[in-house]
Amino acid sequence: MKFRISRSALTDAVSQVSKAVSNKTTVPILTGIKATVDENGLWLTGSNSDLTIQVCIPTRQDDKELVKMETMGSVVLPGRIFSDIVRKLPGDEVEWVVDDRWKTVLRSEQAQFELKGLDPEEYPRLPQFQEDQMFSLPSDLLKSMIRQTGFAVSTSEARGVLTGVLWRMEEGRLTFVATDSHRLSRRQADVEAPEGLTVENMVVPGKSQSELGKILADRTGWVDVILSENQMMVRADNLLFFSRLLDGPYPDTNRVIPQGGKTEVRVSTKEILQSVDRAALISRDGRDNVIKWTVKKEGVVQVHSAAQDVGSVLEEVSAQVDGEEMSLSFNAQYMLDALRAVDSDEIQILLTGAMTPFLIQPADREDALHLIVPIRTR
Amino acid sequence: MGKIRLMDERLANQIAAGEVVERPASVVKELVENALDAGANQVNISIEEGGIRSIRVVDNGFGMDREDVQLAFERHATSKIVRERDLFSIRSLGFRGEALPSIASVSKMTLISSTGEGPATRLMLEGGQLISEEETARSRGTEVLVEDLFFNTPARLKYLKTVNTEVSHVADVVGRLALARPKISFSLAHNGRELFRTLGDGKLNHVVYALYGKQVARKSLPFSAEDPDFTLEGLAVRPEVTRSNRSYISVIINGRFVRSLPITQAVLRAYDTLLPIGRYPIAVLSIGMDPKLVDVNVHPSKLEVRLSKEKELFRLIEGELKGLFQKHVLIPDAAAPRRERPTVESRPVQQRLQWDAPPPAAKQSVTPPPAEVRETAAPFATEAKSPPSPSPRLEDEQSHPYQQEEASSLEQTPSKQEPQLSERPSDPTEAGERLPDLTPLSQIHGTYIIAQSEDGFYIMDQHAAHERIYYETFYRRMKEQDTRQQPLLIPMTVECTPAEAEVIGNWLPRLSQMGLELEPFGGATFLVRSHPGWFPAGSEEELIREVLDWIKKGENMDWARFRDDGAKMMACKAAIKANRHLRRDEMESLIRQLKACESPYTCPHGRPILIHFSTYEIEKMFKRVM
Ligand SMILES: Nc1ncnc2c1ncn2[C@@H]1O[C@H](COP(=O)(O)OP(=O)(O)O)[C@@H](O)[C@H]1O
Ligand SMILES: [Mg+2]
Ligand SMILES: [Zn+2]
Repeated sequence: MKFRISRSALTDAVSQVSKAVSNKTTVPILTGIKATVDENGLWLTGSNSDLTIQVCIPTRQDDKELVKMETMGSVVLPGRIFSDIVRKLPGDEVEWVVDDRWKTVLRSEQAQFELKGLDPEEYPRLPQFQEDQMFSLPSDLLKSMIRQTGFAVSTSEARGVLTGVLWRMEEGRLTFVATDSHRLSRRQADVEAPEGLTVENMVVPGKSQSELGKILADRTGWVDVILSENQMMVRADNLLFFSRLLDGPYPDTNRVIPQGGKTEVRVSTKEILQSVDRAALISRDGRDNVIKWTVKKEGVVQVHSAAQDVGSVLEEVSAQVDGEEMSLSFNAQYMLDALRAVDSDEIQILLTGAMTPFLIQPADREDALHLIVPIRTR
Repeated sequence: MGKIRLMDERLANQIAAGEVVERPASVVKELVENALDAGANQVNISIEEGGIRSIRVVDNGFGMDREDVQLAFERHATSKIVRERDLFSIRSLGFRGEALPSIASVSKMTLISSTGEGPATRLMLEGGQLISEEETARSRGTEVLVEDLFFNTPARLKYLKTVNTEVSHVADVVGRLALARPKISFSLAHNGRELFRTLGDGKLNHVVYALYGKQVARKSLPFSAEDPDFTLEGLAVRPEVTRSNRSYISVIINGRFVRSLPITQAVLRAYDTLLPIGRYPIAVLSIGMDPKLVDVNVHPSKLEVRLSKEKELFRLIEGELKGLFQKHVLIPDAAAPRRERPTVESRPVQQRLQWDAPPPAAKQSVTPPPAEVRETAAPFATEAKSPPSPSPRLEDEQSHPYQQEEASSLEQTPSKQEPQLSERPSDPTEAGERLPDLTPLSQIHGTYIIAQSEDGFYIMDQHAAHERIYYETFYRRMKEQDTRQQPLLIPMTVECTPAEAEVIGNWLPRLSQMGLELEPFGGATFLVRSHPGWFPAGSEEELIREVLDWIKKGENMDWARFRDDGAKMMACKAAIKANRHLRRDEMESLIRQLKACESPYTCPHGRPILIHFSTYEIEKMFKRVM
């Protein structure tokens, strides 16, 4: 195995696959990065218990030659030290030579590193996919769907499927649902899918989904999503992203989403967000991070919080209020998460009672909603 | 004149009583020892109100004739000629012939004794004064009844603790004697209720059964060993059963119960990481040795001894017990779960979405199931008979070993039949197999691995397992002084306070000995140039920081302790945590590596790695077998 490669392209690729490299694992080879070079370019792979990321540095890109391959081959290098080395190399180009006992020499200008590599045959294989269960959507849309739902998953593995985001596909409409059972976020969008494709219960681990969001950050264009029994693959330019899927049926959340409400409130997203943010300065020092809203007929939402030994805060935000007056308490963090996920200038809040879940929606669209379960106070 | 002499004697007795008779337990001890001295093989003790109201000790020994009975209450009267100066003859010298008169002087005493020939004698005394003496009938043996202890010494009476405390002291004393003498049948009752009864069949395990219950006896591993100076015999209970203090480690030397901190420590060293921090094992060690090797020149009532050839004895004990634990599979079987107390909720409650819940109207009609249903609902309740007690059977926090802990098991203790204490068949292991063949099935809660084998299934704590694997590796590497170093590409800087820098400075040679190369970098800053090559990939930096933090805190520590504690600490850091998904290959690799461990049963802090659910237990739970 012998080739020369552009250092900056290598650095970018390594930092992307590093996101998937295990640090703590019981399988030592998973702490490595696998590198394979052939006439198409250099493929780097990192893999951990949730996901696998494979990035390709193509031989040529935009008329620039990135990889000059002399002999093909494959090796696994220790992930951390390899990525440290790549970042620190001095030159614009790296010469990379691996002997038949996986000893690897990386040379750039005056610097030469020798690393002990591992047999790539011991590295786990990538899962296989058939392309019949596939849909496509613009990268930007996928990123915003991820951003608007991912925060609501449960972080406790004990909650099983709730640590993931449900991706449902029906009649060309893709729905993301995430809930930790205290709050729920849902986002929908039309995507490009073959007719008749229905995906009922695809649950993507929250951690994988957020890594996907990060790795797509600078990518535009379309991505393909391909499914198998217990894995999913996202394919973008020079990128393959694999994630395990969570086992087990996702609960039917439709029935917990209220239809309409007794009180409807319209308010500026920014104003209510800022006032909740301020109130949280007090509530976060209390034990339960509770904020109380009192919705008044005359067109205000009172935002109130009090914490023992700290103090209290009271603030009014003007709003358009239709229906009964009402007050309810909730976890400030859930509210902040939801409000920050809204891109519209105005939100609509639908309330049915102090004890029942309430809805937050962008005022100008139907495809996104956030639901928060109030806190019962005595 | 005669009267004054008498007063003197009563006073002398009361003063002696102050030394011999501290509390009901000491009375019991003296009386039972007399019974043993009389060759009894059955001693029944019953006390009321902690022994303060009454103590009755009945034996079937050779008894006393009328003349002896009278003599027994004269101070310094003893029928026991000085035998060879064995270990404990020295002990009792100070009180020789004083016990009976001393006890009698502070109580109301009735003594009936018969040699089996001719009539029996009954003597009654009050405060040491003879009240009556008559002939009566009785079979061979002696019966001593002590009532109203300390009735004439109110200061002493006041000093007594609660009834419960006194009972536990009595139980303590009888329990020790029973452990020391498995061939003698003891019974102890309080307020008419039997606390325990030993069979007297010479089997130590049966004594343990009677004292600690069936579970403990079933989980005890017998051992015996000898070397030129010592014979060693006893039982060590599996480390899954623990107590909150050391008093469950019983040491018997030449047939007498003694206290020996160093022997206790040798036992603890053998258990080592098999025990959780702050928990202690149950073990009985019966040691035989030439009396010349024992020095009892220590406070008599404390039962402390000094030994020559200590080191040899400790090595024998530690080695024997370690070997014992190597021979057995120490995976605990699933036990009855703790009953949780309902917590009182007064804080604001974050409500939950309920997708599977019935509609609210129906919900309110749900009433808690009747008590019996809830009782049997506990899936792992192994003993249907055990009463729902707030404290679990094997997890008592009592500070006195023989205090009655489990009424039901005491009731079940058969007095004549052999207890059934069969061990599980897979034990001890053949061919040094430390673990069964485990196939991982799945992971639950991101924390436990479910694995199966032929004999049932296992739950494994993934962090504990990984911690054990790393602990053994790290410990070995440090011991072997594996100094392969991995230089850091970018040296790490560590900043600390001047005081901490001083401590770290002192450790530099040691650290470099283990492969951690540090360099002073001006002020209170250090540069880490390299770390041991065996630091697992991915955890290097974390481990370096942890080691240094830990050194900063620790004052003076020797290299051996550093190795052990350091290996534990680093293992904990580097191991995978709970709440972390594992792939199948990760689970398989974990099990494979655990199999290679020397002690694959507990993490280095003594928490269990595996819990076993036997096929039989599962079948029982599902009532496939009854
Ligand atoms: N249970 C008993 N059976 C037979 N003899 C007894 C018993 N208890 C006491 N004696 C006799 O009474 C004597 C005095 O007992 P004690 O005051 O305890 O002194 P010691 O046991 O030191 O001889 C004993 O030596 C023994 O002869
Ligand atoms: Mg005596
Ligand atoms: Zn531990």
